[in-house]
Amino acid sequence: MDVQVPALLPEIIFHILLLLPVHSLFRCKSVCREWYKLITNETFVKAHLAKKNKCLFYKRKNVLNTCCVNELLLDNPMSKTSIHYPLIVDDFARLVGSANGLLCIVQLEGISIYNPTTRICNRVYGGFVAPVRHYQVAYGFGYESYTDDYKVVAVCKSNNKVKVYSLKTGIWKKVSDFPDANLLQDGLFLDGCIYWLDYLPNNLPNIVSFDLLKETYTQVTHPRYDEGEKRLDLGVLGDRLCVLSSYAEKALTDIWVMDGNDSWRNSLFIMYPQDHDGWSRFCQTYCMSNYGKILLRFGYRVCIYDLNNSSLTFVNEIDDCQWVSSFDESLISPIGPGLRYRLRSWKVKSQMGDGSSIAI
Amino acid sequence: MSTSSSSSKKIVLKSADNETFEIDEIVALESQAIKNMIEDECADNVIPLGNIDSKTLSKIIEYCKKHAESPKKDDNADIDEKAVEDLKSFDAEFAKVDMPLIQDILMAANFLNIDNLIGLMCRTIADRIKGKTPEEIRKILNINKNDLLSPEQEAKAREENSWAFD
Repeated sequence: MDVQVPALLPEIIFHILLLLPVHSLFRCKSVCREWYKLITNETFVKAHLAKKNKCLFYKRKNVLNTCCVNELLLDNPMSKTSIHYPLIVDDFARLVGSANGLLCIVQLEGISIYNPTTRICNRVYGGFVAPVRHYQVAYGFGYESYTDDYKVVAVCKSNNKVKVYSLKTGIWKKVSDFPDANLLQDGLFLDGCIYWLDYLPNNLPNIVSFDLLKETYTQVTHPRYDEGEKRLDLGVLGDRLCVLSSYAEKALTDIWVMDGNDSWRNSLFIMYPQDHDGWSRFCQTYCMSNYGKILLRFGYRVCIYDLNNSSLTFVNEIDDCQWVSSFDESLISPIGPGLRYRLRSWKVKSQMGDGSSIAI
Repeated sequence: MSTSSSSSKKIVLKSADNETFEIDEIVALESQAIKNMIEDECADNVIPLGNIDSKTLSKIIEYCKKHAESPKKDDNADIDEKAVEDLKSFDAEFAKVDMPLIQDILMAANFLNIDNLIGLMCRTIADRIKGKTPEEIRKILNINKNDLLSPEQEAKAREENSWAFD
């Protein structure tokens, strides 16, 4: 009799496919109909996301790159794999932030929700129309688990009006006004909320959070900072909100980590490197490994701080870069099921080096 | 407790081709399915396994024996690293078989509910299809050609991630 290999059960194929790197998965989609269905199924996409393979995204000389955070932290700092793909964006474009596997990039005309893993992009019109310019709007981008939805929050700085875009419904919705929006930067996403620093004149900025589900604002109390001239930045460390308070005079940054119930813990301080230029500071955090290494940003450079021996190492290739953000490698689609056909959404094709303009 | 001292009760497994294997109960307990049968006292002296042939079954018993003998991770905190290394190299050696047998073992391990073995076989298959083209994967896993994507679907799948095929 002919040797007949029994077909593997779908749940076993599911298990095997979860073990594969994304690059292989895209090829596996073409193997057969059953595999295609499995890989594009939402259950698989979610299970794959839950593996939490953290990556770093950055823009350097107009080329977008990604690399694996674990490799950066472990084999630090020489060996890493970057995928280069050029993506032409206008000079005013800025990265708002990331949620799970999606990034939000704001441009002169519209907003791009982009998955750097699949390189699929969804273009959304901005929440406010002219004469409101995109620099007059502070944005936030996050994921809300209860409704399983990705949302863009747009705060108009001139009149405190706020609109929220839902990826699921594909529409902008007006919500209650922002308390008093003196926002200099886009918001930070953590655990269903967007956090902003609200700069009141002659005072410490307020930390204001916006709950993506309840659509309400809350003011977060500050930690008890040291005296002295300081700059504040918000960050995430080990899934908790943190405030980076930088003292140019003392050439150090204090990191306060929220300890639940609005209480703060001063976890650590990091001295600036010897050759600092006087104006750079530690301003963003990306990841903390189990081995006590923190990936963060100093000025335009990305570095690794080792808690075990208080050493600071700069990641060679990632200097002079903008738009740095961590994200989870995922197959999540940036194109919602809602009114996607009415909103012109399209995919980005990667074209290497031919200089043709690609809208994202 | 040592594995051999527990008066070593025996269990007999019978394969599809009517071959019988007598093994220590402790080895059989690696299989969650057999463990449940024994606990529910619905296992006779002989457990018939009508869908597993003798070749596959003997491989599985080889695996279970080795893993039953090795100290479990949660037994005590200071397990010697040598035992862990030893088990790792055993697993690596064990997986060096051809694909039809791997699939047979995987199906049987799934039926018998042996988590570690399912994991090992899945990793082995994943390693073998990693980076391969769809055609190569179909050949490796002998996937039924009746289930191929239509040309339109195929084109769509490729277009979505064309860079992955470079």
